[in-house]
Amino acid sequence: MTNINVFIDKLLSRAKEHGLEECEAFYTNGDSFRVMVNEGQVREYKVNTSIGLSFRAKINGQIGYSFTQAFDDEAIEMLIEQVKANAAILETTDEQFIFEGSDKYPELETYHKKLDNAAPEQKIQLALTLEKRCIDADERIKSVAYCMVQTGSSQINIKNSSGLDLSFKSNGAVAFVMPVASDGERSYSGGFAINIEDFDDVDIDRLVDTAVERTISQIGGEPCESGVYQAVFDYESAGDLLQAFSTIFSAESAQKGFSLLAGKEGEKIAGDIVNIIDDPLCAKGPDSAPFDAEGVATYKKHVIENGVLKTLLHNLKTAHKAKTQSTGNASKGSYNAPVGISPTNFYIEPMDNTPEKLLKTMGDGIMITDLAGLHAVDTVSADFSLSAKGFVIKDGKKVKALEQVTISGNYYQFLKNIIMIANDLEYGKLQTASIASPSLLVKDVNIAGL
Amino acid sequence: MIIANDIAMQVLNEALKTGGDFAEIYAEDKKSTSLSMADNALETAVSGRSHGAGIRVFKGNNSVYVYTNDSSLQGLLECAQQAAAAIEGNESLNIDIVLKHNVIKTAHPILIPPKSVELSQKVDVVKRAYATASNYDPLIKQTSVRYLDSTTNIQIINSEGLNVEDERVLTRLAVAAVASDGKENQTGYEGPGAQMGFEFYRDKIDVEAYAKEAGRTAVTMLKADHCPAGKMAVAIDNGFGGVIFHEACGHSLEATSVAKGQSVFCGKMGQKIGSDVLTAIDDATIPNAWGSSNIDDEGHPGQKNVLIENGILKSYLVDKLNGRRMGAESTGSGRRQNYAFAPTSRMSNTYIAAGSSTKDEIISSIDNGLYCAKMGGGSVNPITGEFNFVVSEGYLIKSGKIAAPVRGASLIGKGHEVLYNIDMVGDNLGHAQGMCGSISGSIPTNVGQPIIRVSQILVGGKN
Repeated sequence: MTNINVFIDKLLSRAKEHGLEECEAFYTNGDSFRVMVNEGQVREYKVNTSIGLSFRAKINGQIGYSFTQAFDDEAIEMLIEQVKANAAILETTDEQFIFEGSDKYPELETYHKKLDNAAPEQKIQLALTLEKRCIDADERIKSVAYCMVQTGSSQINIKNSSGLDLSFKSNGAVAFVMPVASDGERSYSGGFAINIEDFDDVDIDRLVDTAVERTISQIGGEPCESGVYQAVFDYESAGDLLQAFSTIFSAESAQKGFSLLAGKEGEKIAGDIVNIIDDPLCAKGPDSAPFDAEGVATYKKHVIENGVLKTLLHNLKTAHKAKTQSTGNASKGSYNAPVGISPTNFYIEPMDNTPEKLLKTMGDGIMITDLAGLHAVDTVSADFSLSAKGFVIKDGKKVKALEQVTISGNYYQFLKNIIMIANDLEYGKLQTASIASPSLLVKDVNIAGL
Repeated sequence: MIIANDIAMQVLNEALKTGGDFAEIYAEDKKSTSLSMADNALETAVSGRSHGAGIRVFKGNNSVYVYTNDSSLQGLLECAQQAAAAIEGNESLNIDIVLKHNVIKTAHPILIPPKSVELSQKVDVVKRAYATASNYDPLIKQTSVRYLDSTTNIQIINSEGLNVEDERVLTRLAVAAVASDGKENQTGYEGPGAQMGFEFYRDKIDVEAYAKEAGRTAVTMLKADHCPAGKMAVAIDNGFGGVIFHEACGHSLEATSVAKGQSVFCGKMGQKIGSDVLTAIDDATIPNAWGSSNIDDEGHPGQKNVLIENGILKSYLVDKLNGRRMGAESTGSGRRQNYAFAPTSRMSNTYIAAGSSTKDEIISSIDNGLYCAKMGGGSVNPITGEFNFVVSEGYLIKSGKIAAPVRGASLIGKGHEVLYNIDMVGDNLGHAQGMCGSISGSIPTNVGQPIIRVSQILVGGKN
């Protein structure tokens, strides 16, 4: 295969010959490994390397895009022709930018060199151990539906006609198990994942214990009475809900009327105790990077501070339109997607209450540990009605497993109804997703059940 | 032809050299265009080419998958070596490979290939949809329209001698209209698609009608009250309503879950799993349908599978690897998003077959319940059978008549229970298009059904 750096230099110089004064190449180069075991055998084993390149150019104020995964001379001509054709049909009046670079970029070292040392055999052995440990942990665990270990690394490069030349490499590893329990009549499943930084130091106990506990604790679950309850959302369900509605904080969504937060900067939109932070520099954050998809330097900021909306998340285009600065949140859903906006490590700031204190403060109510249907929520209305699991809580204690109920509400109202926040947020230890939350005590939660 | 015979032979032999008993090369070259419009302007235009190949090796019931963008001999050999190295064994079974050349006669002819169409004509479709949705009502404050087409050439070669190529052309238009009164937003969405070229817009759909429909749903829902919660009788109308079967049952019939003994429908073949009026089919052969294909992504011809007949379980959805594990033949259901995924059993065009009740009979049979005119997305846990999905346009039914619109509803339940509660099936079968996500990625699937009555289901709403 052609050397990618040679390809990019040739592409940029050919583009110039074609009169493309402002253009940019963005490429990702990644590899990943995954092993899945079942019944003591390696069932699926997957390895890959992939490279994708996206090219864009600003022509008469419009930015056209093209992409390729083939890297020959023909591809260069195709990229240039398609970018020209695509730019020619666009008609946006928003000013757009091929960025010349920030003055300074943050130093960031999130690459785990130790992960590169682990041989496939070690990862396979870990997966086999995890499966056995889950099954041995409790006689009600009959099998493990999914037991996998996955590692990956990726490099992002941006090079453009304005002299920008950036690259960033990151890697990660995760182990995931989904034990299946049976009480003789019904089956129950509960998944859990942990991040791994070093295969010689994996917290197997925590992964197995948590996954098994999350599974067997559901046994005998039934619905509760319909009603309006106080509820504690555990850190997983609270984080999943924030993730599902995180697009409401995008300036692009707001400017287009897809989010109701347009023009609400400086207004109270959440409970006094609520702080939401976007921190791309967080040491253990899964989505840390020193620059965004447009090459803008990233930094930590409050999106909500003491309940007040401080800023939406911007890229260069939305910031120019709003007469402000980019917040360094330009993103691409994949190498071939156009530039959009997304949060990085985005979380509700923890306070110093234990999760148990939230349950105790609530007294009677419900605890939510699992939500299904989040991928289908309507972020435009922010209304939700989701299938939920958890526990009935009496006097601050779990008394019964809860299932086959729905919780419904509206996320804007949910933010206002948060009355207590726990301390259980720790990237790299508790949370594997970049959008995360500690446990929350929330009032006025609508439950439909019996 | 993406890969020549002599190269394929070298690669397959390399992949099998450590004792694998089956090897397969899947090569793919995809060209696609996407356009989007919002804020009264055509905003993005992206086109390009994705390209790659994956090599899969089986030994018994275990599988190795390695993929790359580099489909040169060297790139493929490197993949084959990596795959062979992961097989537990060291001696080749010396399988004698004789490559055939299987020629497909397409059942899904393309009349106007997307590449033959000027970009300006595609833009015109987008603008027509945009204008119609935006002008539907003054309450429509924003509209977004997306146009997509893709042409994918694949080649599948395996150690059993299969050597087959196929071309798949997909076309889709998605319209989302947002109605707002300044305090609240509601959306209406339509996303028609087919395995067709640009003739889709000439012969198959009325762009303006779909755009109007998106506008109408948004405005209706903005004026709707919150849906009440609780168990009740529900009528789910045709088309995307079929998502109930897709989630409540379809996923749990996939060999991906069944082979591991982890589906609620394991061991139920030939047994009654639903009401007498329920017949359900997965059919990859419907001409030019969104989820159809000449061959699946393992090279097996697409076929029509009756899954449930009058309530009796007749077939699972089976791919090659899980077929080995279950001792069952492939049902032509091995599918994947692209070369970056190993295939597994998936749905194609899945639907509940038409029954004999009219829509009027079904609505008038419900004294107090919910009419779901349109459904949104959902999900399921095949292990427990628990499913959920969103009602995107709902109405109360009072005394056998459709009454006020309601919003914010969802339906939840357990698949193996709800199949018995489908007690009336209508005569107005319709299909709708969706993207289905699972372990082998996101793939185009049709869901479908006539209007059905579910005698009792939990409606999530506001108390």
